Amino acid sequence: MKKWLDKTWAKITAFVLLIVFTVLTVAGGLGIFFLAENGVYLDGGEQLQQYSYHHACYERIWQAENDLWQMTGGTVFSDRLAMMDSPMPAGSLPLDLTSPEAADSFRRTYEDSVCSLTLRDADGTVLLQNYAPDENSLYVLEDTLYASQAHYQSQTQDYTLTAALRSDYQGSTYEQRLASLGVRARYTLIALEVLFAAGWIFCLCFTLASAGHWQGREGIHLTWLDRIPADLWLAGFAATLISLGGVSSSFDFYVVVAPILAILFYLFLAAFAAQCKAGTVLRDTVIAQLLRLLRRALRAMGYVLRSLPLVWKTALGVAALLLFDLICVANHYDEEFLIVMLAVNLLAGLFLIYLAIGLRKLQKGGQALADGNYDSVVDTKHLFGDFRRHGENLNAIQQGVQKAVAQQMRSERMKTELITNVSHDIKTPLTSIVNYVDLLKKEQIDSPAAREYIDVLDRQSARLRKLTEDLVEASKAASGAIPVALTDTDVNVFLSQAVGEYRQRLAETGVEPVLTLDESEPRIRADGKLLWRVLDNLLSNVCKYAMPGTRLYLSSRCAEDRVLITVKNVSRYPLNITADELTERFVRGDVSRSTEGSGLGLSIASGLTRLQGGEFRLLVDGDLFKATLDFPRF
Amino acid sequence: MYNILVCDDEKDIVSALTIYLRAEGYRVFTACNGCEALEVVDREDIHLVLMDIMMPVMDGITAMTELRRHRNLPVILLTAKGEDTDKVLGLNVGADDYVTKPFNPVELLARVRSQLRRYLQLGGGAVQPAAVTIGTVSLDDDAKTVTVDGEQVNLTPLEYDILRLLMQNAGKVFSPAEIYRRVWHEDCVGDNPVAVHVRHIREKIEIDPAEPRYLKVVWGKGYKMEGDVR
Repeated sequence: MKKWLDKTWAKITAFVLLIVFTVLTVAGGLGIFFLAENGVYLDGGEQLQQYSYHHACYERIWQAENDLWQMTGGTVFSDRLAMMDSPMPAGSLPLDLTSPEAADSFRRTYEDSVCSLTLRDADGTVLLQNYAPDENSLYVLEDTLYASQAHYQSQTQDYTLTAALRSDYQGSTYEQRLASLGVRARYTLIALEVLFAAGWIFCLCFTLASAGHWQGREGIHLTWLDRIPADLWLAGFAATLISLGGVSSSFDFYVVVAPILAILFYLFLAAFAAQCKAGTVLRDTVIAQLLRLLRRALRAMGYVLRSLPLVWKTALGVAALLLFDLICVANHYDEEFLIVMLAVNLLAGLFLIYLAIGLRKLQKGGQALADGNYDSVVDTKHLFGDFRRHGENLNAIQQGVQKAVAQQMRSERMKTELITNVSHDIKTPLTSIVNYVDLLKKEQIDSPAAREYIDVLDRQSARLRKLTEDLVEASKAASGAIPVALTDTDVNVFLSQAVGEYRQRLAETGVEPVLTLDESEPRIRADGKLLWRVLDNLLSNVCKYAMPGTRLYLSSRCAEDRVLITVKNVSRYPLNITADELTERFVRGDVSRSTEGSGLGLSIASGLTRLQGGEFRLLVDGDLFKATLDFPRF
Repeated sequence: MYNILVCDDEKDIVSALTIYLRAEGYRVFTACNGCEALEVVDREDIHLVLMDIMMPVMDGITAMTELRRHRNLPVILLTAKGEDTDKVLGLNVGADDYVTKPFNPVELLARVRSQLRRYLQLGGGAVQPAAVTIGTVSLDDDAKTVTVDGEQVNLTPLEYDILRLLMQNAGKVFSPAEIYRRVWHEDCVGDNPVAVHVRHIREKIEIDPAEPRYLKVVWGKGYKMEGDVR
């Protein structure tokens, strides 16, 4: 069955069969309706037959009455004749109904009639008769006649006309024969009707299933008819039905119009089915197309609005609000306008607050970026339009910077790892060198030059050793690869401990330490060991580079919520180098000029201070060297 | 005559150490990886092991773990890894001491001596009732003497009082002001000399004053004695 769906011959056959079945079904349905209306299914056609007999008798009586009226020159009168208002017969002589001529004429005229017709006078005497009635007449009908118009007026009954239908009456007209056939075949008709309806449904289903399928084409193909939108079809039907309802309701009109409507409706169904199969039924409706057009228009408008600069948008919004207010104020005598104006202004105010909140969010995000806090993200969920775009830009910057920072941290860590590994490898041969130089020193060597060379070796190997250690520490301090355990630290105690550790070495250098401690006993959060390494580096520099005979000033001082630790001394050598160069030597890879140590001490001190959350500042003013550690007060 | 095993994959370091140790009068055995070290320890009567960590075949940490299963002879680790975490790891798996390369021969010899004395002489030695002993430092309050690794140390009266205070309260941190009050019996005015004294004590009792074993500096708080109290 399915393979026939796109066959032209099958489609045409199905269509023709559909029309045939439609006609048959409608006809059968009308027949059944007619039979049921006349109670055929209740009394087996009795009522219908009685009706048909009555009709036959009635027609004969009517004919006879009319003839009698003609014969009597308009004297004999009946109820029906009065109703018909028949014209007066003219020309012929009136005949006496009691005469034998009249009886003879009457018999001859109605010899072949299916009814026995008998005219009696008021006493019951038979005046006229065509033939005697059957004993078992099928139907008897009587009517009253009047001898004159005056008798009709006074209702004086003069004659009675009786029609008795012959028992062998078969029905005279085509309709009557059809009706009796219908009565006989009333149950067969129902069976046939069911059959027709089944055939009709099958044909309808087949044609609808085949809609959109065409011979020689793959898939669903829509003809121009199928492309007419569904809602256009429905609108057309609705319009047609409404207009028809107002025009006419005659039977003939519907006989012509109903089939046309039925065919159009069928075409609609076929087109609808094809559209459903193609999946375009909703998309192609006029309403959907209009909606699409509207959406596109709105989108275009939105785009224009969006692409306007923020200033213009604001100006437009303010202008619209002012215009609205103006209209409302102009109608100020109407209370409702004022209430609406108040409400709209309130809404505008709320909107402004909402904008301000968005602006505040952006401000916070920007501030966080400016402060170097690259972990905070602007929450753009409740922002819109320009604000959201701005927030997203901020987030993009934040991500970029975060990525860059992470990348730098990683490369810094890799550098540290490299330096650590390399210095491990250096340390092993260095151990041998240190040990054998020491052994050499213990040997009895007569040559003073050789002893001097050994001293140089000793000094330089010690320096190399210090250098490798400092290198590892400086790179770790710079990359933050050192565990930090911050604890509550008393700055004054710390400074006195530090000076105590160095007092002897300072005395050997000839530098006198001066300790100035803040009386408020300031405390900071720091890792004691790391802080000691910072000060250790600073003080060992003092021992190496301070001018003998000068003083070393060590002080702790509170400034608001900060604690400052300063180390000041006078350099033995001119400091022809900037403070930045002193601390960032390691980072920049500058060559150390110093003859002693690695020159990385300040770099390490700076890195370790930063790790503990403090700031390391250097000041070089002539020969004055000043280092400041700046920590938040605890 | 003590037997010392030197274990390092670097031949030059082994021979340098051999020279130093022989000069001190020890008998020296050598090995160049962990496996060999374990064999020598099984074969000979070794009193102390000096062992490198990074070695081929079997590294020092593994060898030491193996050694510690049935022996408790002192082991000093020698290594180029100077990080705190490395030191903690070495001490945790059973090392008695830890020396980072490049080391000072004198310091190494001092540590060797210290470990040997502790292992062989002070192992379960009688301790005087009036004495307080922390690690290898012991203070006899009756005789007013202090010995480290069995050798007497000369301290000034003030240094002695400070050390006694810290040793009798081992583990407790004393601030410089409190030490002054308890030792000088008066409140400190002006510069506090405690820090200088503590530095001097450390120079006398510690092998490396910058990396003290017993008298620790708690920066920003004070000082304390740390170690096993006996």
